[in-house]
Amino acid sequence: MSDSTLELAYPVEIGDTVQVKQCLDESLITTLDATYPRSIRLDTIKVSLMIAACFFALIAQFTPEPFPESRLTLGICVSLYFVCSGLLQAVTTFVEKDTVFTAADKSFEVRTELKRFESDYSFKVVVNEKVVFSENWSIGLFFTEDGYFWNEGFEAKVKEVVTQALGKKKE
Amino acid sequence: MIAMLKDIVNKQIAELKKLWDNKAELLFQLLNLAMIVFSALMIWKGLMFLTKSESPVVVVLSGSMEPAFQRGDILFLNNQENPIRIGEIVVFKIKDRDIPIVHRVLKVHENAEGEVELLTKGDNNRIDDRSLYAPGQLWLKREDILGRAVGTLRYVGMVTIMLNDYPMLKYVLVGLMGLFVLTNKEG
Repeated sequence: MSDSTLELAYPVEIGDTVQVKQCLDESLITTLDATYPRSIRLDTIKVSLMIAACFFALIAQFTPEPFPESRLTLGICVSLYFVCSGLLQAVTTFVEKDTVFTAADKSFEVRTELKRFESDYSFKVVVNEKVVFSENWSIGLFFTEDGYFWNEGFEAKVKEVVTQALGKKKE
Repeated sequence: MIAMLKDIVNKQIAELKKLWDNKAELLFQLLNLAMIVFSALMIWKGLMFLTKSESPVVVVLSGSMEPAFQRGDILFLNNQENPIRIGEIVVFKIKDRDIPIVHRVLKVHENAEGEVELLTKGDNNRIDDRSLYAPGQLWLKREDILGRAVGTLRYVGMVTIMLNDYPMLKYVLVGLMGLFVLTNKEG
C-alpha cells in the first residue's frame, strides 16, 4: 500500500468494527454506483415508512383536542406509529439483511458482513439468490494500524471481483 | 486533552460536511434522529392512552410526602375510573397552575349534586391542602386528579430536577445527543 494513495480523511477507529464496516460499505457503494445503476427501491420503502411514522407522531403531538378528549386519536396514532416502526424493522432485518448494494436491473446483489471484534470482512456477490462469489478479506489489507483507509486499493479489489463474479455467472 | 477535544470536534464537523454533500444520506439520518425522538414521545403518548392520565409519570419535587416519597422519586400514575379512596396517594393539578402536586387523600365525600369531592394533605405537612387550592376552592373534584400513584422508582428523577434547575444543561445534552445520532450512522 503506497503512502501516496492513503485516504487523507480522518482515521477510523480500528477496534470499532461498526465504523470499519461503514467505511468499507460506503466505499463499495460509491465504487459500484459508478458502473452499475443502483436500486433505490428498499431505501424508498424505508424512507416512506419513516415519513409515515413521523406524520402519525406529529398528529399525536399536535392534535387540537385536549386530553382526555383526544385519547382515541392518540391511541390510533400511537398504534400506527408502532406498526410503521415494526414494518421498518422487519424490512431491515428480513428483507434487506446484510445486502449493501442491489443493481437497478436486479442482476446482482452484494452482501457484506464484519462480525464485532473480528477482522475478516465477508464479501459475497449474489445472483438470483445464489452466491456466485464469496471471499473473506482481512481489514488489514485496506487499513493501516492508525486507521487510515486505502480507498484506491479497495475500489480496485471490488471492481475486480464483481467483474469476475458476473463474468462467471454468464458462463 | 485540548488537542483530543479539538480532534473530536473537527471529526464531527468533517462528518457533518460529508453528510451535507450527500443529501439522500442526510435525509435518512435526519429521519433516523426524528424516529428516535418520536419513539420516546410515542411511548409517553401510549402510556397516556393506557393509563388515561395526562401525566403518567411524574417526579416528586418537594419533601411534603416524606418519608413515603423523597424529592427526586419517580411516580407511575394510573387514572382509571375506579373510585378514589381515603389514604390513596394522588397527583392533582390546581387550575391555572402548571406544576402538579403529589399528596395523600384525607377526606372523600359526595356533594349535593352527586359529585365526588376530595381533600388532600402532604404526609409531611401540618395542615391540609386548602391553602394550596385556587382562591375559594375548598375541595378537589375528580377532574382535578391526574392519577393515583401505583409505582415508584427511587431518586431516578433527580436528573429531571437538575435539567429543570439548569436549562442550559438540557440544551447541551440534547444537542450533543442529536449530533451523535446524525454523525454516527449505525445501521
